[in-house]
Amino acid sequence: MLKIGNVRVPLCDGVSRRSFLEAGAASTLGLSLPLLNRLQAAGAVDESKAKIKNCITIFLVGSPGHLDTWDMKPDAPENIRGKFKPIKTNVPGIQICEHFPRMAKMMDKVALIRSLHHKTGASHENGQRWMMSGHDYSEANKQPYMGSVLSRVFGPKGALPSSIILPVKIGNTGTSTPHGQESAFLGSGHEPFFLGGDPALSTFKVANLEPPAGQTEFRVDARRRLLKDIDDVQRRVESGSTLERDTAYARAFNLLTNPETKQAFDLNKEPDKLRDRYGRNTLGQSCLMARRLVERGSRFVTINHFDTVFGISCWDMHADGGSLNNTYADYEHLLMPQFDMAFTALMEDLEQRGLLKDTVVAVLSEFGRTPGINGRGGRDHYPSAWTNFLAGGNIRGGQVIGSTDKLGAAPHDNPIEPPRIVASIYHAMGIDLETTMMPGPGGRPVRFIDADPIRELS
Amino acid sequence: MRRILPLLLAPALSMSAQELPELTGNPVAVPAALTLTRIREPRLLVVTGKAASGHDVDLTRATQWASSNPAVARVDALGWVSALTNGQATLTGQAGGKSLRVDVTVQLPPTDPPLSFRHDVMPVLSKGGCNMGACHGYSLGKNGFKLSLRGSDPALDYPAITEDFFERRINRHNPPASLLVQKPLGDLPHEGGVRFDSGSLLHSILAGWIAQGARDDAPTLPTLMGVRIHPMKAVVAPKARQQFQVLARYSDGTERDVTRMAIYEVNTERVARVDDAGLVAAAALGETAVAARYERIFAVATLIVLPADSKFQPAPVPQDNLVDRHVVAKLNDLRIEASPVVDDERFLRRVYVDLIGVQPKPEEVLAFVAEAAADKRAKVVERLMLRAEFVDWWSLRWGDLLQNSRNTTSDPAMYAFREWIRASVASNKPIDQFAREILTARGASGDNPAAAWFAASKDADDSLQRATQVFAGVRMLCAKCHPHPFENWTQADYYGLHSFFNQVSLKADPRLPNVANARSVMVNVDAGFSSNPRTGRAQPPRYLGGAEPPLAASVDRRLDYARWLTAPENPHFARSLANRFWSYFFHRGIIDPVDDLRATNPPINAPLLDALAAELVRSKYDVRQLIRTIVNSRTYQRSTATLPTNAHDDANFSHALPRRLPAEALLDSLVQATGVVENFGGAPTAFTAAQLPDANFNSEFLNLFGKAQRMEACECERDTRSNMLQALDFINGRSILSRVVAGNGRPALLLSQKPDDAALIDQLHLWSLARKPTEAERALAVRFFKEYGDKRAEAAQDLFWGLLNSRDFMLLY
Repeated sequence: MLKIGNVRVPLCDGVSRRSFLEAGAASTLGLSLPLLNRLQAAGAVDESKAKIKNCITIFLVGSPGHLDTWDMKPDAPENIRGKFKPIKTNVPGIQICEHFPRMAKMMDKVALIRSLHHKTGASHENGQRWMMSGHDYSEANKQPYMGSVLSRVFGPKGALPSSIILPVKIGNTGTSTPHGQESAFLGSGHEPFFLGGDPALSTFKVANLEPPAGQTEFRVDARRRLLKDIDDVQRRVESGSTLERDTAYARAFNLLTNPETKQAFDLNKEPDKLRDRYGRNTLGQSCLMARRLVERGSRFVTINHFDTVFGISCWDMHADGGSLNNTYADYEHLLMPQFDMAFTALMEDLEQRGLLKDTVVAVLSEFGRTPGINGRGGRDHYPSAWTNFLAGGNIRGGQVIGSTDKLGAAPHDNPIEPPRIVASIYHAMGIDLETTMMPGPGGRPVRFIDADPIRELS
Repeated sequence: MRRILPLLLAPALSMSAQELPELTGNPVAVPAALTLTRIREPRLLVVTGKAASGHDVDLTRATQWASSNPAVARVDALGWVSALTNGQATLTGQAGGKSLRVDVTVQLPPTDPPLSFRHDVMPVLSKGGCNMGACHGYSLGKNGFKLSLRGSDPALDYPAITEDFFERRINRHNPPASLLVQKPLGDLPHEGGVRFDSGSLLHSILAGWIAQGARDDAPTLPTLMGVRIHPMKAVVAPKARQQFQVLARYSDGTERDVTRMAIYEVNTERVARVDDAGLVAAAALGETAVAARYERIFAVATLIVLPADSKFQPAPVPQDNLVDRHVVAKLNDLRIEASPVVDDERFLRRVYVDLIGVQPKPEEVLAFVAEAAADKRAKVVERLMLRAEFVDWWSLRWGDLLQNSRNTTSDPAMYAFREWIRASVASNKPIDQFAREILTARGASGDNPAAAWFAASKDADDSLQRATQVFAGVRMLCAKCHPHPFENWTQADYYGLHSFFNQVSLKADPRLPNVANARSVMVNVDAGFSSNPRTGRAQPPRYLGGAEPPLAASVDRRLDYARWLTAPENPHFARSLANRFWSYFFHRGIIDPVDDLRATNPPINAPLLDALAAELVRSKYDVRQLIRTIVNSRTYQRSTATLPTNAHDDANFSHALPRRLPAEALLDSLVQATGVVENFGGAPTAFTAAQLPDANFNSEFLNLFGKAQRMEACECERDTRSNMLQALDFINGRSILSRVVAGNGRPALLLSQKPDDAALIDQLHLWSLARKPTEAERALAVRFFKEYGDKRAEAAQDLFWGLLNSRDFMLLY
């Protein structure tokens, strides 16, 4: 019989008594003891606890140019090498852009993959699907987001959802095709939980967890007590379906009302100095929140660094003079300093807390940007070559995987396609991709991803 | 792999005669007489007795055997008979104070025949787990060594073992140094770990075969014809053990005991576990299949675990309804009582949701409860089958199964097919005709709307898999690339089906130019047969089950397939559909999952399924008659409340199982309860969720609650589980809150009629739960109203919110 993670593959088994929660985490779930007992009586508590690591992904929506960041070509002609200069890092032989001075000091922890490329369209969404799911799928053949896979196979580790995306969903990035952050055939219970608010704002609240406008505290509270009373009166029969429903409500109420759970989202609990270190901006504070969430049981947290490419200062450096008018100035004065601060703060913070070895940090983007600078001083979409990087977890830092040619136009050695990055993330989380399966379309067991991890990474 | 053998055996060995229950009649040994022809192949004697309680008692290891001629044959403590020299012997056994005898003839050939690659070595590779999907059976092999998955292809495995890798896997000069032996023993580093111990049976076969020269089999090697398991059925007490025996039959008429080499699996581990030697340990009350695989063939037995002592009185078996007849008979066998029939209110909600996809309105509830007629339940079933929503609901189900969707077909074709399905449901088109019309459709949507079904297939693979899963309940996908892991289907079966469907091609519909996905289904009657990639040869059309019909040249082969499929004697069609329809009313099939019919997944109640299938055939494939038979049964109408003897049973239909309403029924019931409609972008305003033509109307609610997306021909695509995001939406999101506070919402409408508190509370319950409140619920509501003081409107809204969030709304009781 096949197993999915710790769990038997329910091949379309309708009422499945899979693990709703883990015994070890039960106390942090805030489930009432009677409910817990009833769940245990029904065999719903999985005693085994998945020993896998967590992952925090910083997803650079819009996509930085590889020649301006982590794959510089100082010897290329001026209209290719761009405006910035490379600097040395703490690993001899590895150079990155001058505007990542902090990152340069921790290069020994980072593995750059410089030969990434994909072969489908050059829209943002193509790249988002590739990097978030490992597939460039169509609407009719959806594939699940990495966080959904983790949620489905390994289940919750505490009161928080397994898979959370900060700060918000990706909205309009050009075409109306999927962004790769959906559960697909794994079911709605494994959709990522979107924070739905900017943690850098002083007024920040988790939109989904706040009472809707116009609701008084009295009514919210009265309703909650009422439902508990009704549930008590109606409790006649136990079955897989009733336990599933009760667990769903218990988890929801825990998120809504348990002060301890709510604290996961409260950055005021962090020292001001640390908040400053991350940077008082959306990316910085999202990274800090990601750490809090992983610390409290989330398995897979993605930070969408921007939810659109239009009308804002972002990585999508077309310099088109209109709604896509990002330029070198945006990179130099806003985006790169923010990223340098936030990423290195996250790495340091995780390390100081002893979490880095248990947390993969992945910095991903949709594609690179054209080697040639366009007529207005920008660079356009370029899926033929780019650089992303991994750190933490089982990743061996201080190395460069693959390279591009002299102009950064195409992979030169060890070309890598997105599925191998996804496989490498799973692998770095400690998942055995050859024996761990998930229920695929139609319920048949399938591998997480049909690609080999990059062996050099671990 | 599984090294639990010694653990399980230990307690069984210690079982002594004193612990045995009192036996009635004489114990029986199987086989009753033995002829041994191989020195290295002992045979197992499985001994079974009957206890006074009716249980089977496994005496295999409790029998004390004595041989009349120990020089010829002897028996060990586990019941294995070994041959020593030619001659005759009589074995006399003592078990539970009874005696039995078995005559043994030993006829050894002058020289022991060599070990066979196919019949000895291949089973070792399977038993050792070497060719599993996670090991060398992986499509890319493992560490450079690839075997066929689960031993499906000895012709490929022989060279992989003997020739590849510079013949290092096999060392003919120094057999013990062969990697094939050293790796699984753990003598050399092996990523797959230690697979067997030195001196074990698996080791001795592998090492012996290599020592004999690692030879391939002669072409004259007899082939394996069949595998059987004994006992076929065992009824045991909790904690009891039962030894199974597996026998292989070959084309030369010989039979071998392959108990030690078979691979065992139980399908319900809660009930029992099985070890590597075929010894099953019963754990909890219930029933499970015990499947044994040897080479490529499965044999399946049933194990039933019944309470050891029971004052159970069998219920009279009803004769007026075939469902009740077979269900109660089975429950009597299991010593389980059936729960009583549910009250009128809950029955009505159940039958409304199941038949028309929406719960009853208050006036319908009140009228039904008040109705005095003895046959009012049967009458309401007839009325519901005439409702417009009946057509909506069952067309939705068929639309899901037939994958009618703009993902794959054009907008006009999808709407035309929808109307075709609706007309078929409305006219109660016989289901065989319905299937034939779909499976033989050709042309464009303007010629024949049913052609949209083929237009939605990518290719013949897709068509054959969809056709087989929907109309025969069989999943063939696995057999495309390798023999099915849980069934006897091979690639010949797969490509035999392929050849029925490979004449179909699609071309753009000339009458709908510039319409995306508008296609016409063409049939090229001169297309040849499909090629089986394993043999490289053309595979003639072959029905599921093996027959290859003689077909004239240049015919549309689908016609023959459809005729065969829907013939009354077809073993798949009526049976799979009866099972599928059953599952719509019981939350599980008689075979479950409903579209995974196979030998290793036997029905929980075979006579019931056979009777329903026969009834479907007898009624000339009248689906409404099938529904009538099911919902008019007491079995369907049973309460969810359990009794002491049936609380553990969730498979035999002894009580109803609570289940969540499907997405569309939940939304349509919510809309009806609150009076506030849901607007689906792109659909006419008044459309209900059940009426939506496909899943491409963006509805967060329906997606959240698991509406089938029509990407798969699998019932499992519909997700009826509950999850936290749904609960968050119901508690805090718009779905309920915005509806209960709406100016045109139910609480406001009711309040405008100025009812007193009691009437208001009754109405809120009737609209939300389709029943009046219980005394406890009424008291609770009154208390709640008091808490709100003069804020009566808010109290009504919030009480309604509570009821719509309660189990009794979200689940069907």
